[in-house]
Amino acid sequence: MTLSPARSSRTMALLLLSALLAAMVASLHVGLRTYDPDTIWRGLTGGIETDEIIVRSLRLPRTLIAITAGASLALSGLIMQAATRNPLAEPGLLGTNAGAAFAVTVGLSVFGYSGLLQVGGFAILGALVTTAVVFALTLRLGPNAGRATILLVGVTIAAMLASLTQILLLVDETALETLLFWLSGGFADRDLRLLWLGCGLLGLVLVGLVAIAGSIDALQLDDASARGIGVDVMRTRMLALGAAALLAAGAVAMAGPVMFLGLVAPHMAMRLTRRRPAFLTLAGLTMLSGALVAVLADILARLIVAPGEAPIGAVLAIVGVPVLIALLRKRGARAA
Amino acid sequence: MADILARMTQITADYDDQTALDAIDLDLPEGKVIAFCGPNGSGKSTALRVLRGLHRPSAGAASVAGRPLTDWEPRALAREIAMLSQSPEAPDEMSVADLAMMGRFSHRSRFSAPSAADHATVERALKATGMTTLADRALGHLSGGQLQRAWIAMTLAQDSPRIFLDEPTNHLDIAHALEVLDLVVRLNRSEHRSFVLVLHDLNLAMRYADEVVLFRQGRIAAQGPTEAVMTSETIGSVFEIDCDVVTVASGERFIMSRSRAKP
Amino acid sequence: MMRLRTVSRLGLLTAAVVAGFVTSLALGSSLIPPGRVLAALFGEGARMDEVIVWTLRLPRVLLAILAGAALALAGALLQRVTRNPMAAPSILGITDGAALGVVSFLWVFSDEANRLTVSIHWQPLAAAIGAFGFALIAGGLTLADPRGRGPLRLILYGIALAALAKAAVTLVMIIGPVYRAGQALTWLTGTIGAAHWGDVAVVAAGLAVAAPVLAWLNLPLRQLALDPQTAAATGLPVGRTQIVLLAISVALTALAVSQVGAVGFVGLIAPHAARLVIGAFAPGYLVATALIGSLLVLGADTLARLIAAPLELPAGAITALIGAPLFLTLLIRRQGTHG
Repeated sequence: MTLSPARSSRTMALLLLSALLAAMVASLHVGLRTYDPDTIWRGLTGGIETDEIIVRSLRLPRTLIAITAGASLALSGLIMQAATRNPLAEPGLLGTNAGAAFAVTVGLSVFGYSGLLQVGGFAILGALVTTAVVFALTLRLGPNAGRATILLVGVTIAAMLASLTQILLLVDETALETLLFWLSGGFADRDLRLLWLGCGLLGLVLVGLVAIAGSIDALQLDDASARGIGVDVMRTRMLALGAAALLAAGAVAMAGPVMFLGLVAPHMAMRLTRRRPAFLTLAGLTMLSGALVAVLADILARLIVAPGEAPIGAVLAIVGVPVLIALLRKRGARAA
Repeated sequence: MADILARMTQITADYDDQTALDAIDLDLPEGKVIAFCGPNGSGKSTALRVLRGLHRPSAGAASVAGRPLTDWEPRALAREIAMLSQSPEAPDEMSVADLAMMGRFSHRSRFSAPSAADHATVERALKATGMTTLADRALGHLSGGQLQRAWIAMTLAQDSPRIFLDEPTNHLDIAHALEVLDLVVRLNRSEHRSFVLVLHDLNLAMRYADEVVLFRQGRIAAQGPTEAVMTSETIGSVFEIDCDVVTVASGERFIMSRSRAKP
Repeated sequence: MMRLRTVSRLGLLTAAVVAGFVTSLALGSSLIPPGRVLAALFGEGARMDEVIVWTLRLPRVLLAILAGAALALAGALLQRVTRNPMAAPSILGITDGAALGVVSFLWVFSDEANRLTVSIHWQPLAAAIGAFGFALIAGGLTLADPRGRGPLRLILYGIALAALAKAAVTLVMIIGPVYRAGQALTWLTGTIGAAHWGDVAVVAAGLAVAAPVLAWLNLPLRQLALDPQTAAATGLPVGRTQIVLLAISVALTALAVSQVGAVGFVGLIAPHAARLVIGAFAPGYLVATALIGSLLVLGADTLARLIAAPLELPAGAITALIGAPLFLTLLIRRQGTHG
């Protein structure tokens, strides 16, 4: 049986959605203590027993944050890949996450800012500036630079920013205490108000994305051909990268710098569809995949080193590195 | 010096999972300028690499200078045969003289600096290729023709009685190509060095080679003295073209190919 | 025949290392003027000075010098073997592999009371196993790459594997004993703080073994600048030479990392600086590389203890700050020339 692309995308979306719902339930269920469905239900509907409060005030927020951050990072990765025509692009590998984290650290340790909007503002500023710098540098590499080179620039900038962050933290012990946990990346025990920031940014970008989705699709062609069919290539690319940076900033503010999600989720979505669907459909599938992977990774993080918690970054690296290697080995992939 | 430069017996070699040489037998005489010609992918470069011990055949035996290839120690073989591969690479910052000195590897002792003999040989190689004035120039600052001559200088500095050149006229305009091949003939006649060249240009092969080996689809289509091999029938069948061999007033012969899209 | 210019520049570098050595011994929580440092070194100083210099500062300073030389040499060898000016142990995942080896060692061989059940002297071996393991995987992936064995491929696989090793290190630290984890964390960022004479001896012994081998392999090492086919045609047994040099490089990295932690980018910076100072094909290239590496790590460590005193920064963070921009410059220039 062959499905039309639209039908197959719809089926996949339903499948992903059911998987995500199941994973959400599992995420509420599994942990240091496992809760039966009754407790979970009462927790969600306002029960007042300890267990029920734990479900509502700990398990539910971390699950929601995992979903929002996962979807944001996944979409950010997809947009970067489309905008740069480079299947290896991802906010973690390209330094955007490190930039947001560094800016937040500077905000806290130099200016003493720790309010919600301030954290969000610094994260956005850092993400935008770093993304701009990385892509300005890759432009200097010339039109023939391979997609690998862009990755190298991003990784190097990320390493440098990580070193600077580390120095700042060592010098400023209060910042260290506040930020060390956040910097290690994860979905648990996060400020819930940040969830609204993340959701807001995600919604904003989605609205904007509808406007430029057609142009982003056209970026699959080479620049000259895209220009030939009437697309303002440079403008589309800038807008897209800006949107990707905003998404990454929101995710970093919520969950700290998390690598590899933006790489894994888009490729998962593309694997699920027979042919590459239109950009908006692909974006939807990617967000679902990202949310699913994030929730699953979060569950895994609770389990593998129980009673401790593994940093989500480490879990995702162990999933993501094999994906990265497989992508590197893929012959004849859409090269940039 | 043995009469046979190299001998291949039932050599089969694969390249990128494709059969490049298909059970070929080949004897190459010493003291001549021999050209390997043939269509792209016919196995001529692979044959050269196999003979130099740079590519391991999957079956068959090869011997050079009277000894099986497998018996040669790398440095000893380098003193007997020098080879310039198709697209050699060295860092841009290396100077021409440093590159030529690289050719002395098989002659130098491990710990000492280059000997007077090393320096003298390098100077001779630079002179023969007309690179003396450019000796201190970095490779990155040379033109295509100069770069090719710098590599040939390195190959000559190896001071081997037998020299393999894989498409030595690549990247060279006609003037520089002629210069390189004139040098080959001069070294062959005056210093009795043997040359095996992979050449794409059949007319250059006709003019400069004593013997020609024609490859076709991993086998040897013809071998022998240039005049005998380079006939319009043989070339026509090897390259699957229509052509004539014409003799001009000076007695030199040329290949004229004919378009198949004749009115 | 070493040119006068080369000899004089090597002399200058040596003088700089000696000056750095004395300066670094003089600086610290209490300043000891150079004259008193020298007196203490030769056993003629005040008793207090001698204690500070000999037991507190000297091992640390010597360890910085030796580890810097080892990391720099490892980088130079790696760049030659891979014919890739951007290769360095920290970029190829070797450093993180060594780190994983050490952390796993601390985890596996600790009892409930957080005491090691075997001698700490096995630690370098664990580092070596981790380093060789990751080097082998990166090399194997590159060799088996269906898209060709370009120099960039090795770096990409190295980056991927480094991320994997880092993740594994984090996990092992969480699973392992808490006390050890704290110790491993400071060590991971690359600090030379807790140096003992034993550590100094281990790195010194490694360098003492490597030096004559490298002198013996000096010519083949130069020859590797040519592409493999051409190098083989000039009489070099390419495969064998590459394997031996790669093994030395990985061993030197493991040795240094097991003692001073993951100090990155030294293997990248030092060989390039040496190229600028005396040239990549000058006879004293490796010596210059080692001296510059020493200077670099010594400088970074001295800065690390001074900038935010009494706090100590990780020396690795400082070398990364110098190394990362250099790497980018190289990348951009390389693309400029090779398109």
